[in-house]
Amino acid sequence: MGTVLEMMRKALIAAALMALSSCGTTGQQSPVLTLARAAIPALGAGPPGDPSAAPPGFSPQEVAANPGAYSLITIHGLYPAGLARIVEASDGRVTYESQYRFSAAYRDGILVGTRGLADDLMAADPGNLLAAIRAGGGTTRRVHETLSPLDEIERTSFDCTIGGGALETVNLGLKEVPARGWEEECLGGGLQFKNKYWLDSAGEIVASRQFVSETVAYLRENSL
Amino acid sequence: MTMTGRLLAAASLAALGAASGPAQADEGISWALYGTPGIIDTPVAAMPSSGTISGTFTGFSGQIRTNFSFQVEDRLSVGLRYSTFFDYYTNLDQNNLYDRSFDIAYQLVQESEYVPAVTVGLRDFLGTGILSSEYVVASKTFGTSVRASAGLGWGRLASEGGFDNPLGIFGDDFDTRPQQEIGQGGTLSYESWFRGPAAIFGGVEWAATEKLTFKAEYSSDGYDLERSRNEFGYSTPLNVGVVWFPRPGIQLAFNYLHGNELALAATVLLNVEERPLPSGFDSPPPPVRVRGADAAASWQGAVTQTELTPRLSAALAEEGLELRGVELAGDRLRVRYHNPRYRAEAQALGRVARILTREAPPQVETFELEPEYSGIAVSGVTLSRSDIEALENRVGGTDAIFQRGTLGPAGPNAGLTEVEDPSPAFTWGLGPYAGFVLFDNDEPLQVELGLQAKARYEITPSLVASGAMRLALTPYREDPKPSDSVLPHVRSDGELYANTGNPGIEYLTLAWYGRPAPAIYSRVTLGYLEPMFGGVSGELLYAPPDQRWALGAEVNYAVQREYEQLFGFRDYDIVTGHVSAYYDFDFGYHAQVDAGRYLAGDWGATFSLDREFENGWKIGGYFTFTDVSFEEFGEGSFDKGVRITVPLDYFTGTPTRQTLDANIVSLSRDGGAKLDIDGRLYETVRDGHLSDLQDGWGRFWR
Repeated sequence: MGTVLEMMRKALIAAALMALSSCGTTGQQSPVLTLARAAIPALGAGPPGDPSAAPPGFSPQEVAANPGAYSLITIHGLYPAGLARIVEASDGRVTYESQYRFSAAYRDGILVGTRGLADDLMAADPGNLLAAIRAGGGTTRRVHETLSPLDEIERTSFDCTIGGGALETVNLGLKEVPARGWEEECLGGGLQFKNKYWLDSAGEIVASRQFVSETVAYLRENSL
Repeated sequence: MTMTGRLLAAASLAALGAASGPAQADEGISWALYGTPGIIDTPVAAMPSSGTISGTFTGFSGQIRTNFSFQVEDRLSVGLRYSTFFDYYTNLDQNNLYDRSFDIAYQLVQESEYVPAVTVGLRDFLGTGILSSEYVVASKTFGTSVRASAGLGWGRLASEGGFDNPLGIFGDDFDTRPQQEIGQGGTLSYESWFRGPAAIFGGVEWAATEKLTFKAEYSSDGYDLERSRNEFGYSTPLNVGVVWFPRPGIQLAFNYLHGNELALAATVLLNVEERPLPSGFDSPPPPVRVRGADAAASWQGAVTQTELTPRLSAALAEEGLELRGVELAGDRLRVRYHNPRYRAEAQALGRVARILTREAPPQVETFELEPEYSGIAVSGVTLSRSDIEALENRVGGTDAIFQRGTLGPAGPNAGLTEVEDPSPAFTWGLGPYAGFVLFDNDEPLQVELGLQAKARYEITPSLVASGAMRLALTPYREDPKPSDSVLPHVRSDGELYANTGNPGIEYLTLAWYGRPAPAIYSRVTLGYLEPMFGGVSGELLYAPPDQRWALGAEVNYAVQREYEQLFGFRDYDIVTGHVSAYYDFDFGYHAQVDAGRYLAGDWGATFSLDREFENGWKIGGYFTFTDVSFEEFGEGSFDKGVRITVPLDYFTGTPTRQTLDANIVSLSRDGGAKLDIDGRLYETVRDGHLSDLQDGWGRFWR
């Protein structure tokens, strides 16, 4: 009986200590508490990405002042449609930062990297995708790099077939535009995915739905 | 489910490790009563994938076992077990026997279409040998749901149906299993391995569904010990059981043992090489800014170091990094920084490099990055700005930036303009702590819970005063046992310290770090060094950043502290110290040898080997041999232990350098004892050196 009471006393003290937040200015808490907080979200830890806490640059005034600097990005099932702002554009590359605090980098409209999505596309080489589209279809070898659980870069090659080109009406959020829709169907590394690109009359990609990684799946992006 | 809810759920799953259970290839392997892959009593030859850690709790009449196993490599597994035999003694105050044991198994042949897997293993090969057995077992799967195993066992696995040892053809020595001399325990019992009678065992596992596997075996374990000590019912060598897999990483087994007994086993699995969210929730880094063709003309001479420094400082702070020094000289920009956030130093390097592309004037072509810890620059990484501009988001860019960069000692302090650390020099914290004492003979698991206050005053980054005080709310034991050690009681009075020193000062030190030569680092620590000793400690380390090895030397003058753990000392003092050699193999192992004089005045060496995973997990062991005899040392014969380091970002998915470190020593005895000093040099500098940088280099662009 005494042992049981002692165990109950220890359990109560343990619970009280768990509930007690570490205080001070070291910025560190007990590793055990860190683990417990990660395992039990109610204790107050969680991943970033809270949509109510968008980074600077997303006020209605800022968007209205320069709508060309923004895009609409959706990751189905993970993030609803949200704005993304160009944070870097140089040398044919554009990097967007989403209001949900992840980033997506494009080269000539092709997704070449994401950051902050927990299973990121670290780099991508689309091969001769754009040339195939310009030629009215074809095949390409696409290469993706992702991070392995051991922090190593894992490379996967995909054999892709490009086809389509039919004129469609694409909803860009604020307007609808005519654009030719192209599909890139890829197979490799035990994965199969189908990217879609919509090109306007100038040959620019105005909207796309592109594969990120097995966990994240597709990222849809269109200019406003 | 809302987006946030889903992410929270994902993070929680990651934290629980539930999604990192066994890989597809491991399906169907179940952990048996010895906490290793097996049927019920008997082992199988199949092995889980490398990196699998299991915890298995098993129990049946008169006995419970807590088992841990670790799949070190594809073919090598090791296990640690703690068993309680209830009512083992009948004439002592203490009725129960608590016993530690270790297992090892190696898969000689991997299974292929027509060839079974073959594994050889030793159970309880280090310790009292109460559960000791050896075996060779073959296992073959048929279709997708049936596995049959058969093997030959010795020792306990030949206690039913034994026959003359077939190895007897190699010599008469194999015919008889010598009676094991337990002595102080803890030594290899190799003279009895594969000796004495042998017996055949075997069985079948049938995965009826994804969640249920049925088993039946003929066990050559006769349970002689249990039958002689208690009322263990034994009427047949046949066992049957069922394993339920309720979710990945969890197994519950229900077995009917030898015709009379119910045996239960619960297993939790985690694979350190599998992480559901590998790149984590780390915030996105600032993207690279590529210099335009006209940028040089417009920027030339426009930015001075004075103007650049605050901008760099603010940009690094955004990434959780601290700027410590800047030198802008022509086309070269040298930046010294401290990384308190990212486990992989390469990730911090990558972020600093990208910030520099955004902030440095365009004439700068070379970035020299110098990570700093404890006020010392631990290495210098030189990168070409053009490479960074060209390789971001490029396939092959991670390898290329590693190949094109250079690694060496950090530059001198001369020329570098120091940047004042804006964070407060004095920091403090108050929080809970938990301590554990394992394997005590009377009380195998003791838990201490309490409050800990810490304070730290950074006079300069390399000169730091720090201290910690603890108040135990649930002390380990109110009636500490006196030590029976014949050596100076340098560790075996631990219970007296824990009980008398409450509240007690854990440590109170002044530490000074330096770098007297480019690849030589120094440390002097003065004060109450650890809970049981105070004094002064000096250390030198020669560690070229671009090498996998390092050499060190440490000399300490240590005086034993009073049990009250306040400011007094006892009348025991000693000069102790070691020379150390470190080597980080590039295939995931780290070795260390320390040779010198230990706290009790004994001379000897400590050998350590750790399996280190690139993602920060470390699991290893060590042992110490000194000129203290096994008899003088006492129970356990010599000092040894198992240790594990868990990187918390593996579970949280957010960047942190925090780890959970556990050191499971067999018993705290006085032989082979070293000072427990915080902030030794090798662990301080190694993150910025070749091996660790290479391990985490995949995160450079993350």
